[in-house]
Amino acid sequence: MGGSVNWQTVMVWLSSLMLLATLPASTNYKLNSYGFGNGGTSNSASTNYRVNGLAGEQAGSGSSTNYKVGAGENYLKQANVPIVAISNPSNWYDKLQLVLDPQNNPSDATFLVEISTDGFTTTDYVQDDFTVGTTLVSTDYMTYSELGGATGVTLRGLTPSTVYSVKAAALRGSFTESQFGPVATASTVNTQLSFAIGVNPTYAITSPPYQVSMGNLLAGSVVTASNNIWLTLSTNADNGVFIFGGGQYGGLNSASTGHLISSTSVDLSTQSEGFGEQDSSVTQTSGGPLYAVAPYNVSGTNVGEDFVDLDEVFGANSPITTGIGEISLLAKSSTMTPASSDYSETLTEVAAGQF
Amino acid sequence: MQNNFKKLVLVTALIALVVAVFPRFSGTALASPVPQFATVVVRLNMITASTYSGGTVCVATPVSTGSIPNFGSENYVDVGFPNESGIAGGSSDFQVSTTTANWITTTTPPASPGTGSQYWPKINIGGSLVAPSAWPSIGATAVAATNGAYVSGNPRTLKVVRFATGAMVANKVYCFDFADGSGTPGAETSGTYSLETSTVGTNGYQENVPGYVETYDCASSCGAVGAGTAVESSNWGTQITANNSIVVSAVVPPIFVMSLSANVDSFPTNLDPNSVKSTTGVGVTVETNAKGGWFLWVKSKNQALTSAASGGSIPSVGWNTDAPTDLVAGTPGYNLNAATTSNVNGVGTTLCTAQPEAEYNGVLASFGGGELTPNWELAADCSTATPPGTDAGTTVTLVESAAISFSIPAASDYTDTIYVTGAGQF
Repeated sequence: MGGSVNWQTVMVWLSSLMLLATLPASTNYKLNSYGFGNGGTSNSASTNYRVNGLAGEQAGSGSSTNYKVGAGENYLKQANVPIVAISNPSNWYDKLQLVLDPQNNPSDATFLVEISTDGFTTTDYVQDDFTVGTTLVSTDYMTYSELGGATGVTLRGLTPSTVYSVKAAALRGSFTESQFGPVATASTVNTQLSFAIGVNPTYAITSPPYQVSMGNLLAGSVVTASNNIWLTLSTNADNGVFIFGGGQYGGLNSASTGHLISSTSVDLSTQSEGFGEQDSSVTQTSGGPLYAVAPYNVSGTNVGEDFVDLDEVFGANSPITTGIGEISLLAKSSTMTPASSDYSETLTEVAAGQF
Repeated sequence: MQNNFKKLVLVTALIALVVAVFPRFSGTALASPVPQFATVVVRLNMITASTYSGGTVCVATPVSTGSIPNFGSENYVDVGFPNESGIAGGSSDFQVSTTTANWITTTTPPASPGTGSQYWPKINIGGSLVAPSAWPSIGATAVAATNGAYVSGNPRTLKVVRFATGAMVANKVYCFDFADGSGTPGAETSGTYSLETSTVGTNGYQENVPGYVETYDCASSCGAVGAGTAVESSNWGTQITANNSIVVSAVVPPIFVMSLSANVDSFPTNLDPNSVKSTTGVGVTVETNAKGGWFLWVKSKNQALTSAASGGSIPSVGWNTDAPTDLVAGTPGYNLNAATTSNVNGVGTTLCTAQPEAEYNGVLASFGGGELTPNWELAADCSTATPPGTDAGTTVTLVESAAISFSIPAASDYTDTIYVTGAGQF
């Protein structure tokens, strides 16, 4: 052979290399190879060999849109084709829930989930931190348990308003990766935040202009406005929402007298005059929960300061549906509070999602 | 040579083996999503439609950032505002000023909120509330800004502003405020504004694409939004309402309190031609929340001390403009002295200063005083040129003095009635 390659030797050597570690043997028999290749065709030939008969067992090849025929030992040794489901159960904008059906594959089988936003013209992979990666790495093969079992896992870091397609294949040992299962799709939605204001004695969303009259502030009495402020919001922000409030003057201001009934966080019953806010109640249909924030989470004649700048008045740490925060306004004047009918304050209420 | 060839074949075969076992390790892939911040909060100060607004941008970095490429090398941050197609036309969408100088940043929260204020909110990272810190080395103004209209199918907003930034650290909350070129909230103009909110739709602002906050590692040619390698990115959304302001109004009703310490003010001793005598006085206390203070007037029923029994009369002194008139023993005369003591109740911060009118502001020891007239005459006031000038309690002490001569017939029923009234300067 001189310097030429003995290809038969190389192939035998490679076959041995590939199979040495796993070939079973007993006293009575030894399996020399798992391989059947793709089957042979009678009368096939090359420079170095010729097959006069059928070598190996041909794999099935019939397929259509709805089925694929598999045949042969290679096919039989493949892992079962898993099924994957994907959904958006909670109006998520950057997450989707993925649940794998392992289809009776053993517990040490691993699964690869491919994901795409263009029908698999291009393909990404679900990584072991459940984000999407562009490059396939060995850790992308995860067991059923690592994929959250029957509960599944939450894919994260996704793009809003996007249709995601997923499919999965199973792998057990060497040479046993299955075909990919059926494609499942689900969509993320856009980031969402709704916020509405109402001014009414009882809960209602009302139309602007929003006006709260404190009425006459009789000297020495803590007066509570009959109309309350109702803030209604919903959001799918992953980490919840903040509601901020602030005032133009930091109290009730009279332009004609130049006097400000200033606001501070205090028990008004101990003060000669003052103004402030209370978070009177919080409710929600689901999610959240909405909570009152200090110094507004008080009752009785206690109030939180009406800051000139925005300050957090309510919050929620999770997505929330129809969260309702109620704000009551309290004020007190003294005999020395300059008389005037033009005391006013302009409150600004703002919601900001924790996306 | 043969050995090298064998090695080459072996390596090739091993690669082939890997591909055979893991056939998915090849093929095309989409651009990988940029890792997200733990949380992004973008608060617009005004969410009222078509209103100029500043705002606050806060990000929370993840607890662990080891797997985030280029984390800690950020030098630009892009803030994108939601884009929408035609709620009522392109001009009805958010308007991002492309004048970068208008995008003025600050990392100093306002001083006015005191202890307990959460102007910059604490944000939950990994189960712990983390207090905000000033955004590291945020640019004083923007580097670039675009105001592109929505393009159908484009997943990213084209309304973006870019700032320089310093590098970030894991498990931190960073915030900065952005204002506009006017420097005064509410004073923005079409020339100074940084951001104008959209108009409002039938159900609030419905975004086609969300806003986003995205940091970049950019070494050169970084003067455009989106330039560089994205490090972290999160989307955000908001709602624009017809109005997010609530006007609170109140009335402080007028209060005017006046009381007299007594209704009888007798001369403690008999009148004497050899000396002038004075009454002990009556205190008139005034309290009011009138913004301009108060007035106190007096008038006399008889304009003299008269005796029905004897028919005698001790006449009031005459009017002496801007000066009191002192009584002299032996010369019949009768006058009224007014003296004031302000803030007797010791409360109030917006007090006026009470004073007797010049005609009645005599020296009591000299028996100085003013005329007792049949008409209301201003005896004292508490006024201020600049409101407010309420009064927490002033006492005006009214003292009558009288001098007689031997021509005044003796009698024990000399009397006069002095009327006192007051009014607040509301």
